[in-house]
Amino acid sequence: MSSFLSWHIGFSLFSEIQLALALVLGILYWIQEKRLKEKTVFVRESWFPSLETLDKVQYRLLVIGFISLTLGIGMVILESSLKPKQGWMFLGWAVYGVILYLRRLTGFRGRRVLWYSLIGFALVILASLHGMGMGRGL
Amino acid sequence: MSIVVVGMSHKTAPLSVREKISFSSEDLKPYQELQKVKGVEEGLILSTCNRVEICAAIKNQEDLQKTAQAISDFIQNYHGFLEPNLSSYLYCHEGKEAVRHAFRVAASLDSLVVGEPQILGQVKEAYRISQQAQTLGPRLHRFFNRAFFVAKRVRTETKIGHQPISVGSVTVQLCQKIFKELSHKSILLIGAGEMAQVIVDHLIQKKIKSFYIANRSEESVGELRERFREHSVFVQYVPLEELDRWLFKMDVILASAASPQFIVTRKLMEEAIVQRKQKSIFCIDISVPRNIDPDIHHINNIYLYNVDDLQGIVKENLKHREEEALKAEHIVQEEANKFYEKMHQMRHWNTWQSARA
Repeated sequence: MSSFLSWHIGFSLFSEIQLALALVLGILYWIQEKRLKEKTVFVRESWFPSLETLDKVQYRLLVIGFISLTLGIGMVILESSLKPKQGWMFLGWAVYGVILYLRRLTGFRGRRVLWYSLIGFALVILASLHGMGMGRGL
Repeated sequence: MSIVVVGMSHKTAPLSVREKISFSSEDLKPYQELQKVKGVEEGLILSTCNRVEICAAIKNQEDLQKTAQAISDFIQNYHGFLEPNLSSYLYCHEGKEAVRHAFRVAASLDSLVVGEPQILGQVKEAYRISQQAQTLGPRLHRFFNRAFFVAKRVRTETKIGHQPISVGSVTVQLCQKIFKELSHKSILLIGAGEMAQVIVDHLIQKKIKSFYIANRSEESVGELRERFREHSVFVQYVPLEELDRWLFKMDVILASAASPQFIVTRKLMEEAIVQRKQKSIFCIDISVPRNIDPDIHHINNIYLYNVDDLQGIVKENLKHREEEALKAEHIVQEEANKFYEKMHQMRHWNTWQSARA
């Protein structure tokens, strides 16, 4: 295994962890927002942090995950070993890029970020599974 | 040894009677006088806006009635309060009932607002002053430390004080569910009704530094400005006709102007939320008729609660608190039984020891 490939795996894994955490926070945000909209926020006590906290931490995780994903893809390009699985990875990366771009431009947040993150994360995971399958000779 | 509690509370006496027999918290004179009351070995005076109580340790159980009467006379004579029916306002608990009563008071089960946390602090303060006045001996020392333990147990094992039960505290908690830190948020007040001022007092406690007041004229906000000055809060007047230029800066909007039409419309809020890049806005409309278009609750990242929503939450939380109070009563009863049994055993032990001597 070349050193570029090792770096690629390392960055990809790290980004997947960050993006998974961002997704979890997105789900918590969605639940808390739903409870506030339905006015049932006091019905059951919860340990949920404020919407603002969830939003800020989720944004930071998305930025770190996106940078790490970019570096991961960069390593593959440097190794010049583009395979079909990188197509999924590129798509996932593009979705996260759109989220961050819209966030800066319009303050894109909340439920809509959750749906976009779900799509982006599914694509990134699909790329990883594809890569693992190829590694096993599937 | 036995324990007796003589006093009156919001449940047995009106304020006009309670205020006449209240004791000053820092004055040690009543403690010196209490020590002179026949039969009283140790004593503690608890005087709050809702209750005046004397808790005393008595050596001879046989003199219980006489001592309770003497304490009652002390309360009356100390203040020179000549109310012929004073005894009808007073309650007297002794033995196990006194233990249970004191535990209930410390655990805030006998408070006007069940579960409010201030009473425990007030009992602790009374305990500190009694110690200072040297009217506290080993019996009441043990007794009150147990009461503090019971109060803590009630706090940790039940959710009695978890949910807010006033419109002001519900509003503040709702703000905290949306925003991380309230101190740097901008609050816009549209009008300043009585209930709005209660909410504002709660917000000021969260160290909010800037309030914006929207009104037709600047003169009418003078009183509020004066009030804010005490708390070194920055106040900015916003003319109602310029509201559209200010709305996007606001994190919380509190309306109580009772204007016949909506002051904050859906169009205004749609523009504001875009301008502030979708950062959440919390709106509270406690005006009747409503001054904020209820439709804005459907805009993303805007949350609107009206007076019925807030009161509905208060009602629900009160119901929840009552259920928790039942659990707390079981804990208090269990602890009172345990403590009384121990006290009883010790009394027999002491009697046996003195007989042997």
